[in-house]
Amino acid sequence: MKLADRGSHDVRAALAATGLVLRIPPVRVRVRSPIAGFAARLADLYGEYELHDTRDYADIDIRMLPGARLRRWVRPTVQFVVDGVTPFEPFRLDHAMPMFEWGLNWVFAHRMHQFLLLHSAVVERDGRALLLPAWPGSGKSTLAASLACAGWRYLSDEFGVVAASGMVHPFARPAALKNESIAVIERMRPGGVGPVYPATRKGAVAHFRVPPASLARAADPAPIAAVVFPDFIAGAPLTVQPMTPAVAFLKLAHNAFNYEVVGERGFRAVAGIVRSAPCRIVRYGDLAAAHGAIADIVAGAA
Amino acid sequence: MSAANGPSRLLATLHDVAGVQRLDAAGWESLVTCARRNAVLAYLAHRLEASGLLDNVPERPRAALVSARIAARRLAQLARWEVHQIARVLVPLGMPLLVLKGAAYVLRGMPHADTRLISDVDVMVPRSALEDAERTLVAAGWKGTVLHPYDQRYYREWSHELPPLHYPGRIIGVDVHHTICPPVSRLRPDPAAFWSHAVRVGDEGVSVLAPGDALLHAAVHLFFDSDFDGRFRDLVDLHEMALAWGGDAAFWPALIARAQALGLGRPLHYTMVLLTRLLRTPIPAAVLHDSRRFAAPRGVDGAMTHALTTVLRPIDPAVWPRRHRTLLWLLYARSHWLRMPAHLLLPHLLRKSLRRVEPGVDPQPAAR
Repeated sequence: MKLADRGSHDVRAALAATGLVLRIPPVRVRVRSPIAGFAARLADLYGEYELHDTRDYADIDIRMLPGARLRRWVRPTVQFVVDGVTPFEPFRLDHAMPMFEWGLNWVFAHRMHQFLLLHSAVVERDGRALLLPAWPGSGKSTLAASLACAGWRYLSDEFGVVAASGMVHPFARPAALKNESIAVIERMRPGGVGPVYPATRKGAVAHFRVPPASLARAADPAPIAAVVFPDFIAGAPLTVQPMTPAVAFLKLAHNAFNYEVVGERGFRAVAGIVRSAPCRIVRYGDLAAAHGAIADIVAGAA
Repeated sequence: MSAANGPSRLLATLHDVAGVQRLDAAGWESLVTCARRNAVLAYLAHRLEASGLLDNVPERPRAALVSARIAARRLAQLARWEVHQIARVLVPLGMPLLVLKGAAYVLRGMPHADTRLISDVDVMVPRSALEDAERTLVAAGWKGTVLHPYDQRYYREWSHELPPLHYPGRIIGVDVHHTICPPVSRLRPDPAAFWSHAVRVGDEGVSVLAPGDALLHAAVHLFFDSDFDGRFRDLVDLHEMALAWGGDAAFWPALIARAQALGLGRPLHYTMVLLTRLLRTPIPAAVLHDSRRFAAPRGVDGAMTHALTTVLRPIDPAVWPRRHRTLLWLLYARSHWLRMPAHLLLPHLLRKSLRRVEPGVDPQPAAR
């Protein structure tokens, strides 16, 4: 059963009581919250996700709770509670959804050391996965969302979840689009972007809804065929530069979430990727041009 | 889903790990969540592994256990490396160097050493060498923590350690101590007594406390510290030390005599009571009886052991906000009473509580 198959009243009541468990492979996430506004936003962004039996094991247990009582009257806030701990300062109440998204990323990055977690967006086409590793602001989320709009399977905008087998696993969550990107993706896929949260710590943020076709395959890993470091510069002409395996290795490893934690396994995984997959820097000012270059790189990697 | 009995389930599992074979999915979730909340998930993984039970754990809880184990192993490796870096700059000066607590468990090769969430390496140097040690470490690249000027003064005048040092880019900090209790506290064991019994480990010129002293040190830090919130893992450390060394029949009488000589009987008494009550640590009955002589007068002892049993039980992650906050505050006030004379304590607590309403920096960690 999908979250959207439960009525909105039912979802709100369930979240306020025993909670719901979302299947977001590779994890099951238990969510509880008495906040009606959060329930509505969750149902909107995660409507197409499968629900899991609440009596079964869940990997992550999150509660979104109203902040301290006094504050509720002045400037209401929301707390992110995981395992009975609040790792973050409260957010304003109407930013509960972005807080849930950031918080879930944070939890995932801290406790999934059975995988190497690269900091990378991931898309796939014809059984060939493409890593888009990058620093915040380089446009990887926008590029991944735009590729998803153009028919690629969307695996993640944040995590390259690499198993010991070398395959990359999806962690298909809404992509966090910022500022100008929001309108760009909304134009490519009308209705594909959720509500805009103005003035978060990262500027305006809105979430790209994962396309249903990608969600239908949300548990399927794929082999890594190519690595493209995106470098968006407004107005820049398209350039494609090769990157040596050694440089690509350092860039992938140093920007990963848990490279040092996983140790030798991480070294072998990154070495395997840069040995077998071509690595390129694609500088672009125009998404369509970048799509063309990327299609060529992945086709050439066959 | 019945996460409500997480603490009892965690304790029962630590008493007898074979009990996990009877857990259903909900039972596993409450056990894993409670162990993680109390910073003993990697320890639980180690216990299951040592009993040959880890491979039979269902896939998802096993993944959580294995992940926690990987993270804790890495921290132990970093702690060992940080000790190496410290020894490299201090030992050539001829400075005696004692490694304490978590990093010492690593150097001793204790079975639970690489299951702990180590955030700092604690080292001790003689008081006369303290300034030299700080200067040398700072010259070698470690940076002092930027503190509120009042906190700086508190550390330097009344505390038993320097403000924490950090090497840029490393996650493990360094605390340099010159004694094991705050110099103004009512417990005043002579640091020379610890130095004279210290034992060398490895070949880098580094020492650790003698086993009994290490246990007493951990006991002082647990029972005479200000913060009893989330300290269950410290009780697990004491449990592991008792198991590692208590098999030697001579250990216990020597420990009691040592506690008596150093004036550390009271924390040893609490250790015995709490270990027996919460973790069922096998301590000989005669030793338990013997250590009762260190107890406070009956009424006080009853109240204290009740309070300690309450706050040192594993925290229940299902309850929010957490229970016993008033009790924790009372114990906080008590610890300050024990460590500072009243004419220093009252202004200190007043400063601290006023500071809470001052505008501060946003301590929010980076969420991506």
